[in-house]
Parts: sequence; structure tokens; C-alpha cells
Amino acid sequence: MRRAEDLRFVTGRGCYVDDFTRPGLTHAVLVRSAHAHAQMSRIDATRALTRGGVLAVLTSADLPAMTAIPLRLAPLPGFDRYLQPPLAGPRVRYVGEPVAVVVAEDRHVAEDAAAAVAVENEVGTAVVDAHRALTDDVVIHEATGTNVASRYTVSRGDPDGAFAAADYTRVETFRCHRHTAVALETRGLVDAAAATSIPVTAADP
Amino acid sequence: VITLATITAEDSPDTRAALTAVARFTPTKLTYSYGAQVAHVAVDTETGAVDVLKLVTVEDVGRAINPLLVHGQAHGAALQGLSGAFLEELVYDDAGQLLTGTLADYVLPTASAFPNIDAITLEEVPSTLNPLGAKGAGEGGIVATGAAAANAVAAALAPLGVIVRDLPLSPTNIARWIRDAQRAG
Repeated sequence: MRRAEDLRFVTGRGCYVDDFTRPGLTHAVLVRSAHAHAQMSRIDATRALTRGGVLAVLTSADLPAMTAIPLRLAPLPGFDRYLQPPLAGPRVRYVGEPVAVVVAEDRHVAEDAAAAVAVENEVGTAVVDAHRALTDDVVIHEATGTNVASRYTVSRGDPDGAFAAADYTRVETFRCHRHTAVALETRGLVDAAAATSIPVTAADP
Repeated sequence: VITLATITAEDSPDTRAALTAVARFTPTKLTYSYGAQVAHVAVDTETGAVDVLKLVTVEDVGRAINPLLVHGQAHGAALQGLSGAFLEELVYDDAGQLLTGTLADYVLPTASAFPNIDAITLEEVPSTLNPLGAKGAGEGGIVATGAAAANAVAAALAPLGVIVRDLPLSPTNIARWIRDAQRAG
């Protein structure tokens, strides 16, 4: 065993957030937007709440107005106009954006209840290309009036002079696709009001 | 008076406690490591499939506090870079729906997908910004991978008149670039 953590993993004793349990543990499941851009005309948890074992269903209406998730990284000027709410509504801005959270006595009940939350949408035009977004023909954050969050220009030395004096220059456009980290364990959290320690995994893709 | 020799000769909780020291250092500036990568590939011009024959990744980390960890980071980063260059792509349709949302569509590498990576950690230029001389380590293994792989594929396909401008280097894309070059040529 070359690494300190190897023994517990190869002997099946590695412990993940899902392995932790506490007395009275409840489970939260998110209801997510099915659309990239839409105005929710209705979100109704009545049917979900009648299911046995469901303790609560929260939507954006249950959150204080203007609640926003702060940026973890150093923001550029203007970013604060685009902060994401913990639960979206009535406007949703990407597929998968959380619109409600269902809390139930077990995971299966929570998942079934999440599927029973009724959401009606007026579907808008999606903007999935940065170049199209720059045209502002469809504005995703309507209050800002533009999709351009910030403009950031960095320069060191004399690039114009360096290009002018270069023996060879070339203008080319390169395209880099989008890919992402695929975590073995996604983010999870076990919380207990009176607990002295809270196991957390935080994998930042 | 206890001598250093006595302390080091005896391995007891007391002597270990006697050797405990605590110090704090807060860095005020970012460190910048640097590195380079070289890729050797073979491209099947019929199918567009690429065999990565060799990838060498070099990074100067200033000082490796835990060399095994740094080596593992370099390996993992380079493999993620190769996988991003050749296999993985988040594809969205016009409605913003992710089309590669399962591991059947979003291709992750298995152990046989790429060769063993030659990861070399250098400690030639320690940082002057912290007492350890350490610089950031790990990301050097992925920063240049897409470019190194694309340049290798471009070199292999240059006789066919293919210029590589895009990632990923998927068989579909490469076969299309070859066909386009043949039509234009």
C-alpha cells in the first residue's frame, strides 16, 4: 500500500456521504427545469405533499426575495447582476436549474414526490451559443437588458509592436469544445442541527 | 538538557512532542509553474481513429513536497486532457438539451484507451515566494494536452492538406476534415 487511503478503499471501508446515516435522517431531492429558457406560469406541489412520508416542498416563493448564491471566485465588475437564485422562479435559465426541493422521510419517497410536482412553462427561445448570446436578440436575464456580464481586457508589454515586428503572423480561429470533470462521487451533504461534525464531500469540477 | 541525538534516537510520544513545531505562512502572491508536453500519435485515415502512442508531460513544480502525489496528479491530469481531446464532449441541441448526458454518450476513458503516460516532475526553479519553494502542481499535466494532441494529429495529416483548428479530435471530426481536404484538394 503506497498511499494512506488505499487500505480503506481496497477493503471496502471507504466512506462516502451516502454511507452516513443519522437518527431521523430525511432526504432532499431537487425538482429541476426541463427547459433551457422558460417562464414558469405555475408550480404546484399539492399532489406531491399528499404523498405519505413527504415533509415539505419548497419553491422560490418560500425564499426571501432577492436571495442569491454568492460567487466563490473573484467576480469581475457586473457579475453580481447575474447571480443565480437557490431556487429559480418564475424565470428558469438552464436545463436542470433547481425550481423546487422536496424533503421526505426516505429517498425513494422524495424522488417520487419530486416527479409529482406540477410545473407549467411558457417556453422561451434557448441561447446555447456564446456568439449568438452577444447579439442580445434573446436576453436571458431580462432585468440587466444584456447577456454581456462583463468585458475583461488584459494586456502586458507591447503586443501590437510585437506582432508588427514578427517575421510571421497568422490569423486563425480555433474552437475548443466543452467537456467537464466527471466525479466518482458528486456533491453531497449530511447535516444535523445538533451535530458536532458534518461529513461533507465537495468535488469542484 | 536533552540533546538532539537523544531525541532522534528515542521514538516515544514525549520525544515526538518535543519535536513538534507550528508555524504559519500566508502566501501573498500566486506562484506560476510551467511545463511542456509532447504527443506521438498514429491516425487511421480511413476511419479517423487515433492511437496515442506516447505522451510525455513535464512540469517544474519548484519543489515537490509529496513526489508520489505530484506524480499521480500529473498522470491524472494528462489522462483527463487526452480524454477531453479525443473522447469527451458535452453536446447540446438548439433547445439547450444536453445530448451526451449519460456515460453511454459521454465517453470516458478506460484503462486501455491511452498509453502509460511519461510524467516528469522537475524541481529546477524553486519559487522565491514561499519558504518551501513550492509552486502550483498538477494542472501542468492538462493545460497543453489538447494542443499537443491536436498538433500531433495535424502533423500526421499535413500531407493530406488537413489543418486542425477544432477539438475534439473525434473519429467523426477527423474523417470529415480528411474528406473536406480531399474535396478541396
